[in-house]
Amino acid sequence: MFTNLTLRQKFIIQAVLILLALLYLVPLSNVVISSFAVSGFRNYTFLFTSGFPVIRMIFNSLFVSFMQVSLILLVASPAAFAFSKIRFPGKNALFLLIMLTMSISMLCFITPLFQTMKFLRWINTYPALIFPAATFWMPVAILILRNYYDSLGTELLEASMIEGAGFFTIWSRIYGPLSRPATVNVIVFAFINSWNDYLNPLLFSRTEEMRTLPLAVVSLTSSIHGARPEVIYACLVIMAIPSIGVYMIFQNQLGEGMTSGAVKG
Amino acid sequence: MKKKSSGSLLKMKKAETLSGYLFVTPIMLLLGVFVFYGLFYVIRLSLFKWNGLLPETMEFRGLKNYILLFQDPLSARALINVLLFMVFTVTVQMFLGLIMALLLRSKLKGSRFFRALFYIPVTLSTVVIAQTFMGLYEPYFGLLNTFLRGVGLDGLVRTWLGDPRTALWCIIAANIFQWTGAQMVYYIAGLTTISEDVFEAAQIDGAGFWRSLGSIVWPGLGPTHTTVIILGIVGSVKTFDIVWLLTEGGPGNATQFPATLLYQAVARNSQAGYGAAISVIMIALSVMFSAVQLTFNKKRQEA
Repeated sequence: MFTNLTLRQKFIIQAVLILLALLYLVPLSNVVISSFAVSGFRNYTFLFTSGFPVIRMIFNSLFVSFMQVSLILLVASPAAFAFSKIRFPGKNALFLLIMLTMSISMLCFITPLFQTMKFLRWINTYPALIFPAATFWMPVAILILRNYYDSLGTELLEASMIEGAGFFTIWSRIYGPLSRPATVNVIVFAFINSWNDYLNPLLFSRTEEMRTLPLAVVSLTSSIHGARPEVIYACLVIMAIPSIGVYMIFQNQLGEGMTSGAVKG
Repeated sequence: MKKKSSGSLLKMKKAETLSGYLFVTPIMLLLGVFVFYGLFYVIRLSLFKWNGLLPETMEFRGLKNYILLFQDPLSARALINVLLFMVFTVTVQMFLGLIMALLLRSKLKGSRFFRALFYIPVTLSTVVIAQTFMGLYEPYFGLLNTFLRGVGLDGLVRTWLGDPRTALWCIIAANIFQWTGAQMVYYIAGLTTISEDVFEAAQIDGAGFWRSLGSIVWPGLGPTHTTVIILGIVGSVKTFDIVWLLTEGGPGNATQFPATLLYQAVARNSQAGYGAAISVIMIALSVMFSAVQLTFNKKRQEA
């Protein structure tokens, strides 16, 4: 279906696609156009020069995302390798347990998380913006990476073991590098997830200096900065560029993660 | 000789077990601190009355939080809202996502552009989506009302997010906009599992578009439907950001969801125990639906 088409069928398909595209283009372009309303590009310069700590927030977003992605890879990759290739008692039960936590919202643990952060003296610090959200995304990363390690087979493992290599070497030298396609998926989706995250900073950042970009918009709408709508739209455009950009750049390398890892939030 | 080799085999097995545990220790530690500890904490806390500040003020009240929760008309409201949200977002996203996937199979000019465009909202923060839709719903110069006035439908003009009859539907529309692209991708992947011969046979047969859709494509996508539906349900149970950003549960509690009730109870009303009872129920539902999904996945892999 839809591969051998008459001219009329092609026309209908094209028309429906354009209609659907308009439903997406109108709201999205409205944001971009509104960001230039009233004073044009000066909305953007105003955002950076009005005393609003947007540069700090951009830095926070970049730093927190970078740390979250690194932490996720560092923890999830060896775990996924173990669940795929190493035999140890209780393995299946542990894996099942991890998968069952995947769908739970972080919000459900608002009080215990807050108490833990208070105990660690982490409230309004970077670790509090990094660890909880990263941990809650790790099961997804483990699922994506484990599926890929499973597809790699055990021949290399057996050959390396005969040569006396330990599991750490086998993971870090052989299977880790071989899992590059799945790792790219994890990096891209973990980055998008972290860059866009609203809940974690909402719960644990207290001052403007410790806010990430998703909360910048909230600051702009409600605070002393009392920004005009067009400035808020400019901020949205800045926020959207990295996540759309990363997706566009890696579009052709994403497959696995889009179907086995994308989780609605 | 034989004894020695079996001894070293045993040693190797021990080393393997040890490596296995070492490799999963970091994730178990992190989940332990942030999830499993939290789970026991909220289950216990749900049996107490507490303002969330001083531990000394905790007061045991048994199952009273749950009883209050079941008696509260707001819980019923939240339950109805989340069910409506679930049914409408899941069905519309399935239908639209499948249509998009099918249309893009034609590989006509611009297919890559359309595919990327439909997926863009998935990559955006819910904050961006919420602000985008606030721009549409804004009563005075919002795009929606401007459009309605322009085409002479002034009677339909309203304060979309401020009207209890329309606010929930505004949230549902924003969610559909945000996530349909993800379902499209699932269906694109699902369609590749249906062999081209089947489609061609249908064409030779002279099966019309709707007939082949109903008799070949739809049933052939069974596993994809399951995934899309379960992800939709799990996502609905968690829904917080879009509601909080657009309406904060208002106007007048018309758009309360379980997650917004939970957040309000804990962060605004200092009812940590009551909030914990909501958490426990949400966790139970999430884990239940995940278990269903894992069972389906396993069945599919075995089949």
